[in-house]
Amino acid sequence: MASIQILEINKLKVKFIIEGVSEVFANSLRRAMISMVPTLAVDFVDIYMNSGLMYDEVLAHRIGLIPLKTDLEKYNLKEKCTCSGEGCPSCQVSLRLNVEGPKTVYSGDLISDDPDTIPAFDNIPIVKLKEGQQLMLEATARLGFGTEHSKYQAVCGCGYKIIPEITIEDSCNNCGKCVEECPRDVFSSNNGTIEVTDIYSCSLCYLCVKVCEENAIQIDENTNRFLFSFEVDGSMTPLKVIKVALNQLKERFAEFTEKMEKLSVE
Amino acid sequence: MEVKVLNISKDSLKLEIRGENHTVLNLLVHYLLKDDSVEMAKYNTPHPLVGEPILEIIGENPVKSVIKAGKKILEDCDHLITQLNEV
Amino acid sequence: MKSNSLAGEELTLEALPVSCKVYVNGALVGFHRNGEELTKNIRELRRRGKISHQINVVFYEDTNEVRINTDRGRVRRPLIVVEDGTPLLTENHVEMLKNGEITFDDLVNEGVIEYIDAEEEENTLIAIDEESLTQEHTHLEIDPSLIVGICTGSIPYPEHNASPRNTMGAGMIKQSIGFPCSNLRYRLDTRSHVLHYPQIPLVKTSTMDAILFDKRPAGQNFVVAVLSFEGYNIEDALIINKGSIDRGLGRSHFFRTYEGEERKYPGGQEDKFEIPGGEIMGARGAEAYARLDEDGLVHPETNVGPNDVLIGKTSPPRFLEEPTEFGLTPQKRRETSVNMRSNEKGIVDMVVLTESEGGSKLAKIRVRDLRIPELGDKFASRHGQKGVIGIIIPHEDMPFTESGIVPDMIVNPHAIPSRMTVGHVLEMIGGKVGSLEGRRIDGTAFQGEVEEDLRQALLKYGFSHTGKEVMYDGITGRKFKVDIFVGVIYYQKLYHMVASKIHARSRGPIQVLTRQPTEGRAREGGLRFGEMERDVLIGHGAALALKDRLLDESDKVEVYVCSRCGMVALYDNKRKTAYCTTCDDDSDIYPVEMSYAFKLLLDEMKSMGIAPRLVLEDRV
Repeated sequence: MASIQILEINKLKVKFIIEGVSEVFANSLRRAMISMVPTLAVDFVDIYMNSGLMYDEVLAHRIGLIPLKTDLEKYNLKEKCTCSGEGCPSCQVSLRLNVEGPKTVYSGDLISDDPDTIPAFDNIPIVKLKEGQQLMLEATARLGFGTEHSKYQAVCGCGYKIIPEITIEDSCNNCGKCVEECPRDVFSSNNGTIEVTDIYSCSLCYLCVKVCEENAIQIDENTNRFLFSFEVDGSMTPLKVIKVALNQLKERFAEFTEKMEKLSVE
Repeated sequence: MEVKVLNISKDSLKLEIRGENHTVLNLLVHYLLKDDSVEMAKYNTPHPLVGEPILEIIGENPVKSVIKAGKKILEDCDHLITQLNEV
Repeated sequence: MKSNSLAGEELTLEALPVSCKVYVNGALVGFHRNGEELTKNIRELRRRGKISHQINVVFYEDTNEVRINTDRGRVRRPLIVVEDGTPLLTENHVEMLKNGEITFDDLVNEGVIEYIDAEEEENTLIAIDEESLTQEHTHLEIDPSLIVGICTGSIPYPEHNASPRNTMGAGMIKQSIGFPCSNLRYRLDTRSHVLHYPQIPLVKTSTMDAILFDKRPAGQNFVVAVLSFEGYNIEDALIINKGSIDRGLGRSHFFRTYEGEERKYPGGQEDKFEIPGGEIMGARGAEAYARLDEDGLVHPETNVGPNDVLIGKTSPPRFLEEPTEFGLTPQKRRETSVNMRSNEKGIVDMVVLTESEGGSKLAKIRVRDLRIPELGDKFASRHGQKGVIGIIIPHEDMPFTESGIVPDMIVNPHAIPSRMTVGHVLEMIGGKVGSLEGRRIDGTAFQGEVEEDLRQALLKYGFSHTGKEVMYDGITGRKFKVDIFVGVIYYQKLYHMVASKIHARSRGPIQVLTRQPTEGRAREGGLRFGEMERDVLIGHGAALALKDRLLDESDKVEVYVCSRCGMVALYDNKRKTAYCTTCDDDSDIYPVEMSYAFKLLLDEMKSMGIAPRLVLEDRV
């Protein structure tokens, strides 16, 4: 049966192991975390006044990329909202900016209508304004998926690797070449015997197998154990991302199965 | 997700699934192939810029197999979610 | 020297063949008994400063000529003078240079360094470095990387590339989009480009330091994986990551400046910037001028599309009739507004109202267009590896490493072996090391960082020394059987963007003279069906297809020809009959189908006094 085990976790990063699943499931989970976890991001910027040096469209692009703290229970997807896509407080939030130079405008200067939906980091520089230059705009944020645009992506550097099973056969002569050759320090010499001490670092480069003269190292890749790692952009916690990703997968398959059940009735 | 039936018969099923990509379809096909009653299961997008993915299944009872696969996926996801909730 | 030169009575017929001819700036000025000694002495005088440093002299032994060049426009390069196998530049000189006690020009004046032009280089034997100096060498390179110019010097590890690729790489550096100048907000260039997020290259050369490239970078460091992927990067196409583009990779702006002037015509009339009213000839209706201000100029930050009016302008009628007794010109003024080009769109960036040299009002409008990388945009590395975007793939479909790193671009491995651009591969390893260590890597010609050291550095950070990494397929999740070569390399966006080139025409404007389709995208032209294309259709035997291309879809015209005299006949529209002026008859006149270009040929021959008579036959 599938099992999940968290190795390291903090507010922004996580490393966890999933066992008992195929690589396809692991990949679909990875893809779900990247592109199926909805987050809030600015989609529409109404610029009232921009006497700065950055073009409106470049400014809007930068504001769109600012990660916003997202509470998924509070907001609906615009298409599925009760207002049927018109735009209401349940599906969008407004962030306002009203600044005058000389200063560097940071993401912390954005004032949100909803005190919970603020930029995840307040020190992201947006634009530098000189003396007398003003910036007055209203940015509207909504939920979206990573498939639409990367600004809605909640994770950074999301990937996994196969955790192999490395066995050192009896033919090993303890020459220690594998210990030196491995770029990740997977092996170590314990009282003369070579042991695998850090299997989680193995990158499956097979340099140890190539250097071993006795062919004593066997690597099994079909372990169905995967080591995932990713960082978040601040919109939600890493644990939440994994849960939402799994829930999204569930939702899609629930919808699909329902449609298929209707089909079988016909 | 919009599902349009292109072709359905006693032992084959051809669906056009709009709005989904490899994330959902590859997983579905993988679980379908684990089912012994399924003879062939594949999905294909004619071109990434044009057209929608098409899912094709040939087996003893394709619709039943699809439902079974879908339910198994839901089960596996639930299992992981419960474990996460304990953290 | 006076004793050696031959002048006057000494210039005998016997002396001529063995004496050396002396040319100055291409003109023969005299003869000399010993050309080699002459050149040596001239060079001596030059090095001592007795004659100008701008003089270059060469002695050709085979033709016994001495050529002295002093004119402007010769490209010269500085070299260290070597005498008896030792360079004249000493450590002391270098110290004094470093301290600022002497300057480079002082060394030239002393004769330690001299400027050699292309012709004098024929007499030199230049050593690349001090170790290879022998008694025969005449000069020493100041630095081996200086044997090439600015653009080629910007290529990292060029000594590892096949030379044609270096040539191409140097050419493409000139086409790269970057940060051109600091005053681009004030400049009104007809066409200009800016890259949004330029980066300085991780692998750089000392030539780049000399030209201050870091202040005006023109490219970005891309994470590149080398593998064939889904067949979309065949034949030099590139696969780009959609996530990277969303985040701003390769985004640029394109600017175009349109100009309008209130010209003054003889007779007191002049153009005027205004919103043309209904009574103006050619006026386009109030909607077309809705975006213009009262003064006829469009507001900044307005969205403009193809054929939109930017400057509303009216001009006096072209051919003047006499003004009536009321003093008013009876004809209407014309509309001569300045429009956007038919295939461009954008946002008005800046509107400038000023005065031209002649004192008339001049308006310049700069329009900017955001260009996000799309299918068809051209990118290139600095090694002559150019390519066009073949497809933009979503972030999750891309192959990924264990740390979740995903390439910005996927390059096809077939691009490397036949082109032999090993410098490209080395730069990828160098860039990877630079990213890991957080420093710049030196890739200067002949003195770049050694490959072995770079590979050792990779090992230190847990990567394989081969530069390859274990990657997993983003679509299926499976580990690739083979490790993939991944590195970081500086890629440039070139100004050949598909938005500036895409063009289509089914039917459209034709030229007045030949009645054939116009030429060029700006004039909505057709694509030439040239001689080779004609050969193709002939080869296939597709006669009617040829006729269709050359006649029906081009300048077909039906002309009445008199069968008796063979000349082109008139067609009287009122009486609806054809009439031959030479025969003075309207019988036996038949319509003949021909291209207008042929009819033009007949007219041109008639203008020369030749009578081109057509012999008519029955159409079978």
